[in-house]
Order: sequence, then C-alpha cells, then structure tokens
Amino acid sequence: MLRTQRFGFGPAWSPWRDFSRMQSEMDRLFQSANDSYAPGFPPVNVYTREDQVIVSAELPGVPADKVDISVLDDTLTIKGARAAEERPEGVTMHREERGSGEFARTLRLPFRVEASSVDAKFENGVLEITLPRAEADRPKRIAVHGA
Amino acid sequence: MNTAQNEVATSAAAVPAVEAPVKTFRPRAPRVDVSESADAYFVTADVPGVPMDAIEVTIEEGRLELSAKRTATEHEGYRTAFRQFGEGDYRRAFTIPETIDRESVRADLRDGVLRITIPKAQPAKPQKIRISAG
Repeated sequence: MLRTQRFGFGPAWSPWRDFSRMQSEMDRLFQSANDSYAPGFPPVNVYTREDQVIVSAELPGVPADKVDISVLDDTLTIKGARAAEERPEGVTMHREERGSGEFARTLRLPFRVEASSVDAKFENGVLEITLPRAEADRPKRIAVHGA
Repeated sequence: MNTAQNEVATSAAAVPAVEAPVKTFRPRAPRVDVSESADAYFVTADVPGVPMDAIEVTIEEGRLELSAKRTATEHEGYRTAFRQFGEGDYRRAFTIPETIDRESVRADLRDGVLRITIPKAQPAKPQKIRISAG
C-alpha cells in the first residue's frame, strides 16, 4: 500500500505492480569488456501522467548522434556509447573517475506507447524523452444510460 | 511531489502569499578526470543539466573551485515515479600549484562536459650569475 502511494498510482490501475521486475529490467546492462560503468547507466528519472510518461537520462559527453532510442509496446531502450577521452602523448593522468564505453538500458513503461509520437530532446547532456500513451491503451469512459 | 502538501500550499496561498514548496537537492560532486601535460593542467567534469552561464570556476590561493547552479526541470501535472539522479548544484574543489597562468585559464562546455585548461606559468629563465673576481 505504501508503495502504491509513493508512486502515486491507485489500486484501480497499477502498472507498477510488478515493480521489482521492472527494476531488474532497468538494471539490465550490456557491458563491453572494458566498460567501467556501474550497472544501471544511464541514471533515469521517470515522470508519469495518465496519458504520457517522461523519461529523462543523464548522458554527459554523449553526442546526440551516438544515442539510439527505440520503443516497442511498453518498453523503452536507450543505447549508445561514450567515447574515451583522447590522451595525447606526454599527458599524465592524476585522476580518472569518468568512464567510457557502450551502454544499453531497457525500461518498462506503465503503458504501451504510441511509438510514432515519441519525442526526444537532448540538452547539456540530459536526454528527455516524452512518450504518449497508445490510444488503444487509454482507459475508456463508458457512458451509463438511465433506464 | 507530495500531493497533500501541495494542496495545503495552494489553499493557504489564497489568504497571505505563501511560497510554493521548492524542490531542493543536495549539491553533487561531479565526476572528474584530472591530468597534466608539460604546459598545462586539465580538469574534465561531467556536469549534465547546466548551461555555460550557470558555471563558475574560481582560482584562489592554490585552490580551484568549480561550481554550477542547476535548475531542476519542472514537470507540472506529472508524478515522479522513479528518481535516480537529483538536480542539485554541482560543487568540487581542487588543490592546484601556485605556478599557473591565471589569466589564461579556459573553460569549454559541450554535451554536459566541462573542460578546464589551466596553463602553467612560464618558468623563470635560469640566470647566469657572474662572479667577479675580487
């Protein structure tokens, strides 16, 4: 119950009921052999509305043409690569915290989305994807006729 | 984020003006690479979500401080279902040698990555000291 409240969905429709499963899918990561990223890259924030979901991801140092976004039914996949920094000769590294390599992350969304209407913008290293709910997946209001 | 709190704030706003609750996040230390060549030091920092004019780099007494003000994106009418990154300001400081050319420090921001180049001061040329015979 607490979880339902925290994520803001009432029991009437509860797309997050399999939340733990979604989380494990979120953490699915295809790492290349020398990848230094921790699982779960990129970090994401997810904002929901009944008819739309916004996923934002921090992807500093990844140019827009190195990000691949794909949508299938109710899953969103963000794939890409961050190039390693160039290390010119004669340069000594004192500290190296920034990783590089390939990443892929799949999220399960609370509903199926209209793939053709998905919009993505990328600004200052933050990717924001807006995914409208599929028409067929929207709750229908049923008119009740009096006798 | 908290519906009950928002409702209280809205109704209270009708009488005296009450500021809307502001989402705050603790400052984050950005991930950095630090390197050095014969002529310069380089600091590369991941600062996603901030424009160039929100970034401040100060050098004082052997200390370089990097700070950036991040404005949290508002998503009105949405519920936060999942949050893995905060949108707080960035702050990180470094100790740097005093032998740098402060006037020539450059910073460049691209795709949320800040690159700071700190040229080293030209070393004083060795001077020959003439010893006159007594």
